Amino acid sequence: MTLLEFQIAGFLGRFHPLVVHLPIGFLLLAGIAEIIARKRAINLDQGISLMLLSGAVASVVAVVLGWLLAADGGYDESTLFWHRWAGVAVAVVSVAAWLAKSGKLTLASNTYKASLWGMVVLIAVTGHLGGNLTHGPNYLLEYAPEPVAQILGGSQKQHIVLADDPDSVRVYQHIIAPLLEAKCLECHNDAKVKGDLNLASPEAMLAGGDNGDVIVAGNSHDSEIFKRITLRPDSKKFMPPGGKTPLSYNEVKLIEWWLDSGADFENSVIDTGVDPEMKFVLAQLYGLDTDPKSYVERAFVEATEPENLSSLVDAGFYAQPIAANNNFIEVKKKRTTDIDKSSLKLMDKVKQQVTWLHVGGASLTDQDLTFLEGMGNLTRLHLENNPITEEGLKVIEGLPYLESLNLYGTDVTGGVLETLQSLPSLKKVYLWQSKVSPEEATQIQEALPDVDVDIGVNLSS
Amino acid sequence: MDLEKHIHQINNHLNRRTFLQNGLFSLGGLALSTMTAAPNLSSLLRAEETELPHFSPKAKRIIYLFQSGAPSQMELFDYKPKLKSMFGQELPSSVRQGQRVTGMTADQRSFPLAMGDFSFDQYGQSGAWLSNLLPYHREIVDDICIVKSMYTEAINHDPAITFFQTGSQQAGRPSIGSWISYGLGSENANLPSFVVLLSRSKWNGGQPLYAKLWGNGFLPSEHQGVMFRSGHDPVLYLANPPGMDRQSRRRMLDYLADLNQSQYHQTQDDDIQSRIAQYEMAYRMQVAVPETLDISDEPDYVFDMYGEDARIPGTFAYNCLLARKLAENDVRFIQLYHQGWDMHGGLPRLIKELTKDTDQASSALVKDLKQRGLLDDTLIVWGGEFGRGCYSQGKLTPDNYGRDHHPRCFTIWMAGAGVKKGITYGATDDFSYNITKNPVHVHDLQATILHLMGIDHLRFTKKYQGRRFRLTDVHGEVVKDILT
Repeated sequence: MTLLEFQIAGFLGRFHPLVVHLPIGFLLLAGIAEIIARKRAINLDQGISLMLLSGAVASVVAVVLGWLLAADGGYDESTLFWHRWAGVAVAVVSVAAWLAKSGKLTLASNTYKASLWGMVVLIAVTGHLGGNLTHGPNYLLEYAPEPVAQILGGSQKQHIVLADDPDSVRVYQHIIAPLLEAKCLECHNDAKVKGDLNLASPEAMLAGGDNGDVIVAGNSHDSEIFKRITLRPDSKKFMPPGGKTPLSYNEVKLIEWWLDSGADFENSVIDTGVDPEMKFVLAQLYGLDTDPKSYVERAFVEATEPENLSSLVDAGFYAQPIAANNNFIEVKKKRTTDIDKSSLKLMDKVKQQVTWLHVGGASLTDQDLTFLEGMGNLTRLHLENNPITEEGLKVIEGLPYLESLNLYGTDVTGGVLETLQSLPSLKKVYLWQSKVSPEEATQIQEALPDVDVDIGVNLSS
Repeated sequence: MDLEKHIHQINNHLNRRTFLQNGLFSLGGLALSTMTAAPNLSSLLRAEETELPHFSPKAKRIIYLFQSGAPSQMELFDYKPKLKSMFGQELPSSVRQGQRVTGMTADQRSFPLAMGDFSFDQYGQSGAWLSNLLPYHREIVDDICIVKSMYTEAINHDPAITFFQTGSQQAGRPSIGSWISYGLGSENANLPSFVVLLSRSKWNGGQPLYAKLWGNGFLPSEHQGVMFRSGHDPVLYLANPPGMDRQSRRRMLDYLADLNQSQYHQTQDDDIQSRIAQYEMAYRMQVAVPETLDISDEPDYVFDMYGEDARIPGTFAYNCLLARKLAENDVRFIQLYHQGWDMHGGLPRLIKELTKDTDQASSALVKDLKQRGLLDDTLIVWGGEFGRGCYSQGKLTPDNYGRDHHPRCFTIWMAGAGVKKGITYGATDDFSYNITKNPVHVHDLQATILHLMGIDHLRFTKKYQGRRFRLTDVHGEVVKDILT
C-alpha cells in the first residue's frame, strides 16, 4: 500500500462508525415489519423487500469500510476477528434474505425465515463486539446497578473510597490506576492497544509502546506519558486525543508527583512524600487528610471489656474511651475523690488501652508506681503532687510513646534525667515545685533539646 | 400523706394540655412505660448522637475570656504605624471603598485616622507585635496563637455577642458552652459542666449581658451555663435556708424524686428528668461550690502572679484564678466575661484601665495552667465580639479620640491544647480596616473550637421543630492552619 492509499484507506475507514448504523436500522425494521405482517395477516412484502435491499447494500458498504478501519491497527485481535467475520456474515445473510424475499432466487421454503432471524441475532452480536472495540469491554455495564451487572456478568466497577489513613492509601493502586482508567484506558487497555501501548497494568506500562518507554522513574519530564498529557491540546500527539476530556491540572500534578517520586507501584501516600501543594491536591480531590497524626490517632488496640471500665468507675476513677472511633482510654483520678491504692490494680486489665493516665495528688509513693509496668501505650502521664522520686520512675523507662510527663510537685531531683533520656517520644516534662533545682533544669534542657522542660514561674514561695 | 396517695392525686391532675399532647399515644405510652424501667438518666440527657467525641480530642475543656464591648485591635495587637504617621488625615476612600460604617459614626462628615501615644515592639521567638499596654502578654507571646483576621457580620454588641455565643444573631439558640456540655457531658458530677463568671471594669460601664448568652436554647435545661456570682453567695438560692439541715434536704429531695419519677412514667416528658438531674446537681453543688471557690488556701505567689486584684471577688483577676480552679476540677466550659471595652470616646485613657484589669491575669492564667500541665488539654480563647474602626469617632485631639464598632477585622488569641503556639495568623491592611490574608469567620472559630474538642461540627446536631440545628448553622470551616 502506498502512503496515498494508506491515507485514503484511513480516511474512508473512519466512516465505518457512521455507516454501520444504517444496516442495523434497515434490517431490524425488516424484521419488525415481517412480525407485523404475519400477526395481522397483511401483505408488506414489497416494503420488506425494499428494507432488505437497502440493508444489504449498506451492510456491504459497512463491511468494506470496516475492513479499511481495521488496517489502522490497535484493536484487540480476537475481538476484532469475531467482529469482522460476524459483520461479513450479516452482509452475506442479508443479501440472501433479500434474494429470497424478492423472489429473485427460489430457495428452500425455510431459508428465508432462517436467514431473516439469523440476521437479527448476528446484528446484535456484531454490534456489541463493535461497541467493545470502540469503547472498551467495560463501557456498557459501567454504570449498571449492581444486581444487573452481576446477572449480566459485567465487570464490576471498583468504587474508589480512600481510607482515612494516608498510610494505607497506595499511590499507584488507589490514585494513579483509577486516574488512568478514567482518562487513558479507553484506548490503551488489554483489548485495544493504540500505539501498541497498554496502561492497564504495571507490567504492561513498563513494557512501553511504539515510542519506547512511557514512564521514566524519577523524572516526569522525560516520561512520554507526562509529555503527552501536557502538550498543547491542539497538537496531534496530545493525549487524550480527539476532544476527549483532558486531565485536569490536579490530575496532571498527581501523575507528575508519582513519576518524580520514582513511579513506584507499591508506595503509600506517606512513603511518597507530601509537599504543601500535593497536600492541597490530595485534600481537594479525595478529601484525604495528610496532616501528621498523633500516636493515638494512628495506632489501634482492641477495645477493653466494658466491665473493666465500670470497675474503675466504681473505684472512683473517670474511665472512658478517648473518642467514639478510638479504643484507647483515659483514666483519671478525680481531684475531689480519694481512691484506695489497691484499686490501682484494676488497671492491670486495661494496660494496653490506657494512653492518658492522671493519678495526680493520690499520695503515691515509689513502691506504688509498679502498677505502671507494661503500660506500653501511655502517651500522657500525670503523676503530679505525689511524694515520688526518680527511683520509682524507673518503672516507666523506655516507654516508647510517652509524650508528656507531669512531675510537678513531686520529690524528683536532677537524677530524673536518666529516665527522661530513655523516653524516645518525650516532648514535654513538667518539673515545677519538684526538687529539681534551676541549674539542674538547665542541664536537663541542654541534654534534651527537643523536649519542653517546664519548671514554671520562678516566684518566691 | 403517703406516697401512693400522693401519686394517685397527681394522676388525677393530668391537665388538659398533657392529655391532648399524649392523647393519641397515651394507651401505647402507658403500656410501654409500665413495661420498661425508668430510663438511664445520663443516657437520656446526653446528645442524641452518643458517638461523641467523634475523634480523639486535643482539648478536654475550654476557658473563654470574653472581652465584652469589643477591644480595639489597633492599640493592642494589630500594629499599624500608618495610623500614627497619617494622624488626623482622612481615611482614604480606596480603603473604605464605600463600605457601610456603623450607625454611630455614619453621620460624621470626616473620618480622621487616629492613634494615641502607644508604642509597639516585637517579642518572643515568634517576634509577634505587642503594644506597651500589654506588658504581661510579652511573657506568654510564645505560648499563644494571635489571629488578626477575625471578622463577623454583626455591628452591634448584643447581636454580635449572641452570634459568637450561639452561632445566630437572634436570641434563642443554645450557647456554645451548652452545646459542648450536651455533647460531651461532665467529668465532674459535683459541678455544672458549663460555668459563667462575670466581671466589669470600674472605669467604664459595660454593655449589658443577658442570661440568653449562656442559655441552653432547645437543649435540655441542665446544659445551660450556671453563673457563679462574686460574694458570699455565688449561686443564688443554692445554700439551705436557716433551719434546713443537709439530712432534711436529702429526705426532701428523695421524696420529690419519687414523685417526679411517677410523673415521668405518666407523661414521658424529658423535662422532668432534667429537673431531677438539676436538683441532684444542686445538692452536690452545695458542698462542691464553696470548696472549689475557696481561695484562702492559695499561696501568696499565686496572687503575685495574677495580681493583687485576684484577692477581690468580682474582678477579672479573681475570676481567672477561679477559672484555673474550675479547670483543675474538670469543668468542661468556663466562660468569663469582662465588661467595659466599648470605647466610643476617651479611648486612650480607658484602654489603659481595661488592660490594667486584664493583662496580668490573662497572662498569669496561661502560665499557671502551663506549669501545672493543664495547658496540654485546656483551650484558652481571648477576644471580643468585633473590632474597632481606625478613624476617630467624635472630635479628634492629640490625646483623645473614640472608636466606633468595626466588624470587618479584629484580633483574638488562643492558647493551649492543639493550637500552634507562637504564631500570628492572618493579616489586615495598613489601616486595620480590611482583611488581606486568611480571614476567619465567627463560624470558622466555632467549628475550630468544636474540632479541638473532638467534635465534627457538621455531624453535631439537635433536631428541633422539624429541623436539625448546628452551632455553625450551614457554615464554618475548621481553621486547620492554626492546629498542631
